[in-house]
Amino acid sequence: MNQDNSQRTSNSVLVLGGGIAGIKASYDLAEAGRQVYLLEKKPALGGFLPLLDRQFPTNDCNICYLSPDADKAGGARTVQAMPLTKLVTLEGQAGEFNAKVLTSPRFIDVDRCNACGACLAACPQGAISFTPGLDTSSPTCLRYPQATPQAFAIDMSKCDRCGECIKVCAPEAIDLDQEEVEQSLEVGSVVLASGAEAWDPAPMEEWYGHTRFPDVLTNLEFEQLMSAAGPTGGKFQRPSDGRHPKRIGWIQCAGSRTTKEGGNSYCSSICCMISMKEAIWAMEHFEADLEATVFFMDMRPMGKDYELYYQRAKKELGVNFVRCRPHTVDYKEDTGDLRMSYVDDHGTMGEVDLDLVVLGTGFCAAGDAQEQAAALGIELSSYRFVKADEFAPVNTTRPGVYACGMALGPQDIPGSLTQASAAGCMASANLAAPRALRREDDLPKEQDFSGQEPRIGVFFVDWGRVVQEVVDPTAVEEAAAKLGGVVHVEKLELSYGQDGLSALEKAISEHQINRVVVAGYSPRTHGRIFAEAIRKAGLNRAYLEMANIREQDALVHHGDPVAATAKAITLVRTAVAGVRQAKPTPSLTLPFNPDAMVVGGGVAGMSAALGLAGQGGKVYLVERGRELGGLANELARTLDGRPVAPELAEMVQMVKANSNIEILTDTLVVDHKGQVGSFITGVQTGPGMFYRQINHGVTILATGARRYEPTEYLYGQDPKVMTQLEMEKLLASGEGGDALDTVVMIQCVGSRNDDNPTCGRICCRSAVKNALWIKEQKPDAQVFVLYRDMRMPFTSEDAYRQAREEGVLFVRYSPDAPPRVSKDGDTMEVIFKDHILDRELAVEPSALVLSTPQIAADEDTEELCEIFRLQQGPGGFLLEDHPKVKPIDTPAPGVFAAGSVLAPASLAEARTQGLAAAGRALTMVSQMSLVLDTPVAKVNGDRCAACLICVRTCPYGIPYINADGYSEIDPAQCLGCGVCAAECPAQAIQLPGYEDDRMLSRTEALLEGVL
Amino acid sequence: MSDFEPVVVVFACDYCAYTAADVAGRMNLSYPSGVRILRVPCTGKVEPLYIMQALQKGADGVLVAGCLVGDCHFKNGNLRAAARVKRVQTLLDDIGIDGQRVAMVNVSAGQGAKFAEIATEFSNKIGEMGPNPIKQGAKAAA
Amino acid sequence: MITAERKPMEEIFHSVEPYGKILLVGCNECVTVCHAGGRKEVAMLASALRMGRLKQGAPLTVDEMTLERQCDPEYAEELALVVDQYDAVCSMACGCGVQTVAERYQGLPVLPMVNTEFMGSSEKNGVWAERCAGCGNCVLGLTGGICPIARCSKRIFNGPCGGSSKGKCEISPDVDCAWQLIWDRLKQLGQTELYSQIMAPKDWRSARDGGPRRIVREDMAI
Repeated sequence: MNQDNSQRTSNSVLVLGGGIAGIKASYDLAEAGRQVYLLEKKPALGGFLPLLDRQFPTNDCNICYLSPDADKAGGARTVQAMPLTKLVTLEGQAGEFNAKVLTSPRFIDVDRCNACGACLAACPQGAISFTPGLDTSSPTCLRYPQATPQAFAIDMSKCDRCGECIKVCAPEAIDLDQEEVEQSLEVGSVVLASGAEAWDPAPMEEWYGHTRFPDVLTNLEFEQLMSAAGPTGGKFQRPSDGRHPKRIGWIQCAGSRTTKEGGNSYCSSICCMISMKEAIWAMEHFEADLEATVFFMDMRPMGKDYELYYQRAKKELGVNFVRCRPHTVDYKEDTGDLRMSYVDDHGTMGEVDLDLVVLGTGFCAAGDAQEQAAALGIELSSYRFVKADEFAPVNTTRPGVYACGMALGPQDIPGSLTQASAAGCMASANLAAPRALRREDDLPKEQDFSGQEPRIGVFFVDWGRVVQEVVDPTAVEEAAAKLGGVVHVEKLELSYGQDGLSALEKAISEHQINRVVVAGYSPRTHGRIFAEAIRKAGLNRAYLEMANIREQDALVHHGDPVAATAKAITLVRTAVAGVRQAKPTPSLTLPFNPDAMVVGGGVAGMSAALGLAGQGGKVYLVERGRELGGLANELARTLDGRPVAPELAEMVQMVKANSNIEILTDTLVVDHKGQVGSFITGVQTGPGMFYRQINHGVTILATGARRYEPTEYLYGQDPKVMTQLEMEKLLASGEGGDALDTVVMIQCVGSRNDDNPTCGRICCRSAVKNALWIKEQKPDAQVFVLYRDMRMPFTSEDAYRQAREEGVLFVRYSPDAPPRVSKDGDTMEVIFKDHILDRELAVEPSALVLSTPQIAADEDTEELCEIFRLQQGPGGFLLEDHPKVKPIDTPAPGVFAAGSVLAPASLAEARTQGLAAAGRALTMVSQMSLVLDTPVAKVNGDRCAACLICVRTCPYGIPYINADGYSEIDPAQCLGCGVCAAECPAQAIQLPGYEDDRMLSRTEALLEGVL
Repeated sequence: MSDFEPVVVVFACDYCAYTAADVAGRMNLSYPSGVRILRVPCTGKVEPLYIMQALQKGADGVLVAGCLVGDCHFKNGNLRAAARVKRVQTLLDDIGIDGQRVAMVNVSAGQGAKFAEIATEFSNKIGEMGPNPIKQGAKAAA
Repeated sequence: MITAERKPMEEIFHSVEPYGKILLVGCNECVTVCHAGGRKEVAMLASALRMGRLKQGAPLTVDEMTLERQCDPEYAEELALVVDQYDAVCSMACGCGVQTVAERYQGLPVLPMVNTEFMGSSEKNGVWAERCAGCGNCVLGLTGGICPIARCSKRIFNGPCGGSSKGKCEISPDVDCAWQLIWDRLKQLGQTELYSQIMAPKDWRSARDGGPRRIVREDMAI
């Protein structure tokens, strides 16, 4: 696909932006064997995510999920994180770009800085804040406690060069004369993930008073107020007077869906969920008697199952929802509270007093979007977001440059991650075959120490001034040298680059060290680095134990050096006792079949097949029907009026022409066995239903959904009643448009009700699309859309506005009083209530169009779940591994899902998810073999009583009783939590690293001298 | 009892509590130095026996610190741990050692301040309860 | 399986009071499966005993050992090499195991550490329920697979009694009426005629009433 000039460049990708999308794209690519340069303008990776305290819909704490990934992206050898760096120019073409990048000075050497915080304490202005507050502009700023890289930065505009920080910096990391550095990188592709900015309410000050009134916060500011790591330390206080707010109002669409100056006309798509989450979290966490009210125009919980979250917030959790057009926020001098005025559903003015107002502010394109687009040579949309296309949703206008996340428009986390994986897939298609991944054979052979006495090396790593001021190094070193089995003690400085690690490797061979203790860093941040280092020296990674002297001793006992020194000795003794008992963990190598199976030949399935073809092995595309294309075959055009058929035909043609894809139509999957890397799936194919087994390493499920067959509103009894798809067909035929004098559309038929509580997600857009098309064919047609909430994400809001401008009448109905349809002979009448006029209207339509959802293909999905050992979610759709952080993965390793089998999906979503599934699969396919070296539970068959406890308690259902009558745990599937080991009554299961004898040794060492 | 500095063993899960303890360090907070942390992959790995052994080896108190309820990285390991802690508390009461010397707590990875607070409060509470009663017996027997 | 539960600590302390060094012996069969006397429970009790006695100022040495099956003399034999060093053997096996060990080591006190409860099955993880009373004359074929002896509080053969209400037994609303269960199951099987047959009084000689029981297989016991 490309002619690369040098081996090094053809395997590289430039990722712009270190938010969650950029991290995900980088990590996917790195896992697939690619070299990644991850550029971030700011000092630390993370983007918006660390500013959110909790995430909907699971209400999980996000930092737990982000920091391991950020750590992986920052720590993986093939991802080079480049903070404070931006792109200057991009020359060349896909496969052989030359990127000039410019790194601003941090004034702190990242390699030396150990994030000790001494500079922070020493800065005399006292303006330095470790805690990320509402004001994030402190001179040196570690934006959140788990920031990657673990280093501070200095904001020169705030610094008066007093030099106090230099004096206290033990590793001598501060260099106030640092200069910017320009580099040139050879890359094959570029992934743009530079995100967006939170909309600043300043231009609409006269309505919102965000600047004037301290108790008016944006939603991101409110997140900080709730955060345990925020300015109030998790105490719930309003900024003006520190009082506990009791009445909080969220004002939706602040700066979005507005044509007022300073606002944006598009819908920011995710603010409804953010506000709801904040309301729920505030109520659950802080105040049971909190009055939380969301003031909104339409509630738009548009992601998968978000509607259920909305209904729960409304019906179970007691969040108030007031449908209105919020007007202005005023300050009441007498009480110090805020007063908000609004126009309600009936057109009446209303007022409400609030203690705190949270603006559901949206997102807008980054300030430097234009500059960046110019550097990249790509076009932007009129809103300065990256211009993409329904059929090429992660492509930019320049080949070889792809985009994901908020750079494409406001986006929730699963959407961003999905696009990131899709962009990663596209990016890697321009590269040469991936370089062989790090494999065990590239490393020196592991030495066998069985039967040998432990020879333990204790290394004191990076004991800068922060540690040494508190802990006496000499005392600890002397004590360490006396411990049983310790043959070598040495100080190392890791912070001066790779030398420290080389010294470690050298010491291991010189002193025939067979077990290593590293005293200094936390194993969470540095465990992997040292495990890899000792592996390079020929030791199994399990022969390492870390004594956490920094975070869990020196930094917390700074007031008591004697106790801290004693504790350091204890921690080193404990690590030595633990490592003495270490047993090697064999790494498991499994051969990996690079072939893939894609089940389902719709848009999602075809996208996945095209994404994979040529990048791994062969792709088997299995389709139950006779033709490819799926539900998209029935679509005539997109919301912006582009015909679907030619695009779809081109896609089918590409699939058929691809020699790496074998298409199996008229084919059913009947059985499936094996594990990731070596699946065997049985299919029945062709008219004769011939049985055939296919070997493959990964599986992508894209079996789609089905159309809801309405039983409501005389459907099937009167030819004038039709679904949106049928209307679309009628409009596409060009016949019948003339007869459409009066058209009534009813939204949410077959969705958001007791039978199907989920939202159809795309039916609103279908209705607006057809309404506009009717107006196009017959401008004087009268079109009514009877709706509950119009859910028009991002720029589809513009189409909604256009429809209103063209005279389409949108009339809201309440689910308590839905429209009624009656028929008398040939006359059909639709009766509905107009809220503004507050009276019932009767219309005689020439067509009644029902907006019906895609629903889960229940029996098929159930069968699919049975075959692939998966589960169905609330609406019957396939359940993903994690709705937030793994939206495309399934709980079964090596099985991914895409398209409307997961939830009703638009064309662009199906296309993106298909590519994303391919991208996720590539992380596995590109590996020649799968090496597993994480500790997994091991069963001693002799001790096992086959009691089934492990089988019953494993959170993932992995153990089983084998043919020999004892428990067996598949090391390829075990995640190493240790629950089975803890529950096993026969002590037959042990978790390496946490064996009973090792835990006891640690406990004894930890408590030595106490009794 | 004023010179009594309790020794508390904390079994901290890697995903939340151990990380929170690291965060407490990075925030320069402090808690008594008698609080000593052992890392486990999940509190679901903390066996009742480990808690017993810690007390038997002289710890004055034991904390099992896991993720927030509903946030366990391994689904429900923290709930299992909480149930086991209850069982150990009963057994301790039965052998004449106050079961309140053992407790289950939940902190998320970002809650460094909460970790320091819990560690301090628990250590103070154990301080009020006095030393592990087996210490005296051990001395008397020696 | 035979189920058991650890004896109250107070009773255990009392029974080991005279001794300074004991061998705590577990069993890797039923009591392991019901979490009463497997390797892990042995370690837990050992730890509790050591601590409790230390607190009392009278330290107790506790060594631990777990046999594959305490109720077989061959396995009990494994203790022979070490048993002389101890003042007593404390068994965490069921009554069968305790007796097998006691029979083999006549000169040594062998103390039970668990109460043997019943023959039962596992309803779910951590819950066991009585299912068999070992009556020596199984009637399950006539009662829809539900035992009226083990599961009816009154062990009646022609139930239910007047205490059955809404499917529950009068002793507790948590206890199912066994006869309700039997009736439901027989209905399901289409065998309600079995219910209308009056069962004759049971000959309890096949159960404990005939004295201690043995099984002798002539073809094996050579």
